Amino acid sequence: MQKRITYLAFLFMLLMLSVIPAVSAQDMTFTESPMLAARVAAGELPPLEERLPITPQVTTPFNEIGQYGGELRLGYTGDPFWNGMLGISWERPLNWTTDFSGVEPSIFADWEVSDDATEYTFYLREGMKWSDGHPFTVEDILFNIEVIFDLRIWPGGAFSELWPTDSPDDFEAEAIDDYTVRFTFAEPQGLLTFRMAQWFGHEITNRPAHFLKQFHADYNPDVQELIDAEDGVGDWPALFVKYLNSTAEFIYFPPNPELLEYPVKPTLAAWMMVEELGTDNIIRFERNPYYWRVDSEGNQLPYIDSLIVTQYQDGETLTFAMLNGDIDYMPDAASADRILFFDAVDEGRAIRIGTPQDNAGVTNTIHLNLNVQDDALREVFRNRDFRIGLSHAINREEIIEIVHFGMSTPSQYAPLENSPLYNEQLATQFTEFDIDLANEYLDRVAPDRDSDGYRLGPDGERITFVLVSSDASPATQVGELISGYWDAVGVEALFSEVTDDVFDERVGQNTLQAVIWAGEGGAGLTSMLDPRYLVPTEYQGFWMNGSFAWRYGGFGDRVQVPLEGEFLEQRERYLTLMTLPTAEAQIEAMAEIIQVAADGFWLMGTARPIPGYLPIHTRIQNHPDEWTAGFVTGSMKMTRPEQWFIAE
Amino acid sequence: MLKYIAKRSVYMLFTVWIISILSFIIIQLPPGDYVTRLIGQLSAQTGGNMSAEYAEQLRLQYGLDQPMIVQYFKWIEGVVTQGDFGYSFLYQRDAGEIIMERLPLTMAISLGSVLFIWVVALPVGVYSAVNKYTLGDHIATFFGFIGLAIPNFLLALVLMYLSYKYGGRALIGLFSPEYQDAPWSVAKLLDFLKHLWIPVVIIGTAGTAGLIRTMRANLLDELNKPYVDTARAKGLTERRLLWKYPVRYALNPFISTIGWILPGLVAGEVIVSIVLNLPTSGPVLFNSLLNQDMFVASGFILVLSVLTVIGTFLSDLALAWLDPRIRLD
Repeated sequence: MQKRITYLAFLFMLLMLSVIPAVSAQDMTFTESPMLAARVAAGELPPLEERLPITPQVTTPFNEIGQYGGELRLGYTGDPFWNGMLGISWERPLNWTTDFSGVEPSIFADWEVSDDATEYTFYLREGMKWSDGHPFTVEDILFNIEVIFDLRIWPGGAFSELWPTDSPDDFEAEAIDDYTVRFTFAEPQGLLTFRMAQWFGHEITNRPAHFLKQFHADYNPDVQELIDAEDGVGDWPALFVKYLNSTAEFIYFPPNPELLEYPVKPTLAAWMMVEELGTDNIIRFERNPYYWRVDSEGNQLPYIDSLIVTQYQDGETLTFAMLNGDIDYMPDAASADRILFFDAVDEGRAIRIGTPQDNAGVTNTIHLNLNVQDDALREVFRNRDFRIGLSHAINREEIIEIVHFGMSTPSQYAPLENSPLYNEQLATQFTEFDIDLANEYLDRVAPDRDSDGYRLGPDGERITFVLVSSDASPATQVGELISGYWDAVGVEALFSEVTDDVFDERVGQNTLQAVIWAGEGGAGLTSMLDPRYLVPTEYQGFWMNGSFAWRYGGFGDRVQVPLEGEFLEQRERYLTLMTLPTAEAQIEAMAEIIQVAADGFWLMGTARPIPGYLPIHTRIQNHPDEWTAGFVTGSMKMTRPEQWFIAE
Repeated sequence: MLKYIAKRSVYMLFTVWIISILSFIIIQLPPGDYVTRLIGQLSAQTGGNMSAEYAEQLRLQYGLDQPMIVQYFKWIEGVVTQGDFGYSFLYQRDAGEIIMERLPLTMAISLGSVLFIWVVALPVGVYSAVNKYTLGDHIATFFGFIGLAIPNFLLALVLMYLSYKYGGRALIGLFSPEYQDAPWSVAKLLDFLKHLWIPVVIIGTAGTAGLIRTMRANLLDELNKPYVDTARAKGLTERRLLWKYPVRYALNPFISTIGWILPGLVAGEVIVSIVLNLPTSGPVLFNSLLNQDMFVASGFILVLSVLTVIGTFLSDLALAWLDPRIRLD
């Protein structure tokens, strides 16, 4: 007995030891990839200690300390960045923690926020360097901000998704020293650290000042020589933009292939491009020798030496390449191929299946455009009873059976059950399939019917509208089912799937009537950070189409519908939320916003998202089995690609 | 003969010239240009942040601001005098390089397909004709029509799946991964030949089916002619008779269509190459058309037309040699 207690105590101590580690980067000894060690020995690179910052960021491996080397083979179709490399090799100022519960240091080593959230101080890493060995300092941050707001460079208007303002006068950015930067805002900015961890964060950290200044007249008096040498460039802003172009900025191969001439534009990412996309359909990356992350034992990351990224011409070929084992990873897999990959696992092929948990709230949202141009239709759409009636007419169980493999539960758009923002009313109201109840609600709005059995609107004409989905977010099956359900209760909704261009045109001109779209914003705090289905804010909130451009000045000739009444109040509530300094206060304010949205019942949903799947070659190690996927989380960044390794 | 060749050469030059104008114009007919396309992509992805000035700069840089006729003459002058096919906007490289990179493999597949078509179609066509309405003829006809009716890309997908399901790996591409980027060697050549049969069979099936039918019909016409009876009456063996007289007559379509096979194969090859991920000219041509990368597209069409015109010319010569009834003037 005594022995057993000792044994248990020993186990307990072991357990404690494993919990405690709290690795501090200062007392580490660092090691590097043999590939780089050879280059150091040959005198081509400075030693590791000079390449790493004084305090490198520690990425704790998911399963085990990895081994160096190997080539990761990626495959994709379509656009090299958005479909191929998104999330694999890019960096942002702060990171989501891997459980998506909050933010942690990344490029920024630490930060402080004043109590009223008007003053943010961010600490950079002393000794951190770009991939060409040039120091990364506050100068880079300030230069990035300067570029964002420089109207000489952006004659069409400044555009920033990160900053809650379009004017540099609304805040102050100052360098305390080379490694400390302070932002002071006139209004409190409660969500700034969350925004830094999202996609937009790259805006202030990925333009290398020392590289780009040569194209900038303020910094290079001899810029004219470069302008003259460049074909068809008349002035320095044109030259500058040529080397700095939206998507181009963080991945170094843009849709604008101009930049391919500079494949080795300095980067902070784990791998840097060494061979651009050519007719062989291959892009090659090599490890960044100055990468500033280490694992918990001080091994400089990434583990994998190089990436070979192959563009496939067709989705089926990509699928077969993955099944063959010709590639290790594909960022996206079509849901129709699910069975093929699970079969492959059963057959013992070198594939395992990861489970991305989509951060969405529902699989599909159904928007009636409350700003629709037709007066009679708008009156009907804006009637809550009409929307309730239509919601009761939808047979969600059948949709789940037919479209989602029977794996889901009916729901309206709402944060998930495990989210601190969960609201039961919003999630479950009016989801019951009940034709009689549907007719009862609809009779309150439009009791009269024409000879074909369709309901008549207030103008005496049949209520008929077009329900569309875009091929960017296709929902053909669901759309046709819903069109049928509504037909059964006397509402004529003609479903069609349109191309991206047509859809975009209809959004811009506000000629949309009804839309089926995806349902982003369910896990954790995503519905607060991206409240498009709760607050009339964002581009894809089609239920208030035309009222989205509330912050961005330069939306060109897009139709804008002024907000009023309850919708304006809702937006103001959100604007207030953005100024709250603490997460607790923000969540409380968001709960109120969600309650208002629940009572308003502005749009419908179909079913809770089902777990996704992603095939991964078995030789890739340290890839989590489950993770939160989605745009807010930064896509693959949640799986920490720098700590993946290849076991042969 | 020489006079005929000279005359035909002049016609050929003229034809190619007309084709070059047409291809250049047709490619530019859709509204917009490469810059419009670029702006569209950018705004779809980022919400749009490309200034009108920048777009103008790009047009200026690419020479897209000039009238079409000026652009055409600049381009054709470069092609004729220096072999310069212009610049690829999409790949930011010399268009000629891109075209030439892809051409050899395209030719290899096309020639392979032609050989496959002949080797299969000739004996099967002859057999079908001689054994009209027998079981063998019906089987050949059945498969011929199936081959004609099934779209190539579908056949490609099915073969890919079957090779995956029963052969252990789906046969995609023209090389195994390890040879993808390797320089040419004997091992790479063998690997290439190992992969070649799938596209050759897929691209060849439709052509084979067509040619079997033609061969059969032509031969049937000939078999009932009096000279066949005469030869038979004189005691020639059936085999000798068949191959020496009616088959030679019936061969005409084989020869006269050599020239058309190339464009037909390239057109048929586009989708098959996309599906099978082949590094041939089809997908690049397709992509350049989609992206309005006009110099690459025009260049491809020009090169392919030149090859077609030359092919037709050669097939005419061969036909004249084969069939004494054909007169040169």
